[in-house]
Amino acid sequence: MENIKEILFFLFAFIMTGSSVGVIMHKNPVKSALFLVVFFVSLASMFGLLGSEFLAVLQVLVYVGAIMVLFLFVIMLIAVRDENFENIGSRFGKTMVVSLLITAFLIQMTALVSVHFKNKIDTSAGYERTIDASANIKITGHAENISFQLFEKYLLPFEVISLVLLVGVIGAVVIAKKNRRKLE
Amino acid sequence: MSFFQVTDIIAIFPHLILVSGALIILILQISLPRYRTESAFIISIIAVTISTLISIFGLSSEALVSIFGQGASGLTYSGFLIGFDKLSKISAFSGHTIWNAYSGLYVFGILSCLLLTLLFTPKILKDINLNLSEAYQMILYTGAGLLFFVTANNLIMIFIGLELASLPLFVLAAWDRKNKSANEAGMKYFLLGVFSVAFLLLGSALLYGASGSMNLLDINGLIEGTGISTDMKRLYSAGLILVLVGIGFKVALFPFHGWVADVYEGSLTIVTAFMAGLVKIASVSVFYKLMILLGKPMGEPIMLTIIILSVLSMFYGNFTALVQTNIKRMFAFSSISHAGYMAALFVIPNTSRTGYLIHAEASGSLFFYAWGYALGSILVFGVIAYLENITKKNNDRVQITFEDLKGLSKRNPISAFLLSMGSLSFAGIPPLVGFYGKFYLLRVLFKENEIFLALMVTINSLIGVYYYARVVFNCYWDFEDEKSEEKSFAFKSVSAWISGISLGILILIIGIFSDFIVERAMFASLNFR
Repeated sequence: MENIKEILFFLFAFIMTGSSVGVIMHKNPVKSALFLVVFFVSLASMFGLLGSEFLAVLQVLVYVGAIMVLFLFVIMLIAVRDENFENIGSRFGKTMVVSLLITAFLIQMTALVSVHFKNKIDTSAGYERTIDASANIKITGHAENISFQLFEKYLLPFEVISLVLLVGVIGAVVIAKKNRRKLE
Repeated sequence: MSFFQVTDIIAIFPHLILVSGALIILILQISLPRYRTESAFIISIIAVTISTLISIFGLSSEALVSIFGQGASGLTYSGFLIGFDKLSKISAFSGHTIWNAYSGLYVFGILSCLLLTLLFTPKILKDINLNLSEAYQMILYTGAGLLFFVTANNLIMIFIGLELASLPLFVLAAWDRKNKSANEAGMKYFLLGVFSVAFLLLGSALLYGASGSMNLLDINGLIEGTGISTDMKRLYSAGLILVLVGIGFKVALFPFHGWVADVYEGSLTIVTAFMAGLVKIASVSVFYKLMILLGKPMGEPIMLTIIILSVLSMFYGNFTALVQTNIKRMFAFSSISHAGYMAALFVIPNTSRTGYLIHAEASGSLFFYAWGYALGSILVFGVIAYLENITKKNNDRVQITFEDLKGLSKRNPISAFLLSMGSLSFAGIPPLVGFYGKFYLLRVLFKENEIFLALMVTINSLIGVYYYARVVFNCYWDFEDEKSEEKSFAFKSVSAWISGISLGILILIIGIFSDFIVERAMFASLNFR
């Protein structure tokens, strides 16, 4: 089980690195945004692997569902086209980046397998500890636990953060408003 | 099941008054059909006055019972004049904020400065035709954020309080958005503020990693008890240094000063008064608190770092202020040198040979210096804001230079008097508050045998006298060819008159009561934990 978990971790880490490189390297902004979606989904899977399913669901709902859709809308509205942007890096450079990433991934996997075989022979203390940590997180990642933490121990920061958001909204409106001088 | 008790509410009572004032303004603005901006000013003045009075006189247990019911019996809320010596302390919201005399002291300092600055504001906003009620909401949120910042007992609350304080200031700095320099100032302040907060956050994360707690008192308990283990020490040091860098940006110490001159110059002058007075006094207090509670494991290296930063800030601020022609820029650079003077006191918590009392004395003189500095800068920037309105030509905001000050004593005697009083107080001329601030600061440094720092402070004060005296010289020298302009009054609004005159009186007479105030502040600092 742990074996699969670690392989999945490195798989998602690879996807995350690759897609975040894609976000900044791609010429077409829509495709960049889609790369960002891929990044967020694999980040959510990471949270799932750590045992905090609630956070994973929130990640998908909030970032992929809300924020990325907003990004795409904005891109659509201001109608950016790919010819507005310079092509970053040649085809050769892009191939180099992708192949470097793939090499890194393969090295990671081999290292993982070799370390794992070693661990099969003598279970070292460090390896045990990682299992313990993930078990702990499984309990605290529960939605009920999160809400208890949020509304009991961290009540004050939680409430003050809402004030910060309110200030942000009011400030943005008041700075961007048209004809402010007439409103006086 | 209740998530908080009455005690929690009492501990953040002044903060709540400010926040509810801002929310009332928001609701009235939306719901009343014949809403006028004047009412926003009145509501904010009422909110700030009530909380200032509470921070001065405190609330007795009877008053608390009559407000909050029986749950509050047996508690007192100590104010600056009453109840500091009782060593009362309220730890609230599971240790996120703490109400003790030390935080109460700075709550008093911040609220008094907030009240005096707020009185200057409405006329200035009216003159640029931007007297929107959102401005008063922003000011109240800034005040509340600073109060959360100084009463914080947790790295999270330090971060959030700082955010709540600085976000409205970003907006206020760019308030006059058509003005290019205001726009630039807002953007610069925003970017550098966000940048510095990133340092603060990373530092908090590292401190949490090293000590296992976000609570300052818990970390302090760990240090005093078992101590930080040697393999965690590097993580701890890196964390503390990053947190101090983050707050150093707000104090405007030397290597983190880059934003100061442009932001102070570009933004509305009254907003500059908020930045220079309020933000500085609050961040100085938190810096000192962190040094006392968390600084011990760092030992000598951090002491040396702070000595270097302090001396460099003094010299940099003074030498760049010497060559300025724009008055606002000059005061901006001089604020860096004042940050340097105050930073000299940050060394005291870490000197190994000291007892408990010297901490209190250092902290008391730090409060006195910071408060005096804040009062002085509010006066100076307030007067400059009104002078700008008078000299304004062609609808374009004019920056006041030394040339513009020539003959001011004839044209505008009261402005000239107040401006020169403020700058003489900065320079440290005897009957004014700045002199007493420097006196107590030097006394602590000499007692503590920090001769080098004391010498640096003295030398730099002497350098400072040159450019501060230049303000007075330009105001009062009899220039023959300056008779064309007509006479004008200093302030054109009642509230600004009240604030200007009370600031003048405060700066003149606080020195006489300095002994009393420093003693109060010392009492407060004995009650640190």
